[in-house]
Amino acid sequence: MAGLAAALPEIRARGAGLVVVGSGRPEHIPGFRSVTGYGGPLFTDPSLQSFRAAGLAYGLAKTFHPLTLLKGVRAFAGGFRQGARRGNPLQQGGTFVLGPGERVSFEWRDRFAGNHPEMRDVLAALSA
Amino acid sequence: MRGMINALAGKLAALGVLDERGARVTLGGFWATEPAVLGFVRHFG
Repeated sequence: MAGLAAALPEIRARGAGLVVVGSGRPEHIPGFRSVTGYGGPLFTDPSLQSFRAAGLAYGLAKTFHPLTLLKGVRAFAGGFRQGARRGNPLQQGGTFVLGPGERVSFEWRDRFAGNHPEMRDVLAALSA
Repeated sequence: MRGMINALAGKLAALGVLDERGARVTLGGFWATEPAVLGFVRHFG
């Protein structure tokens, strides 16, 4: 989330928007906005239907992958502090560049917790 | 013209998600006329 929020000005400069979907309950959204400072479109899908439709990974092995620990240590060293986890911790995320219409310019499905795409690759898809 | 036509965009466009009031919002409106980065996050927090 931090990477996406930080890239928002660049995303908008390329004529695109940012939509974020989590898996927590709707009442968790304001708290998440408060912690992250993200003011853009933010929604949730507790049913995980959209996560499944996007083909995103789910399960214990994806959550407790060995590289997840390494990513976590690096994030902690960089000052990131995990808040209360509100949502389904077994569900992994992903990043897509969609539109206009039915165009897909970028697809990334996190293989394990912390496995996020490079923002430069996401931004490049907007510029292509 | 950037991007390729892909069934994924249409499949996700038809789905609904919930806003902070629990109201249903259809995702497709966000990339109907301009591109959008759609980020799925594991959890809030």
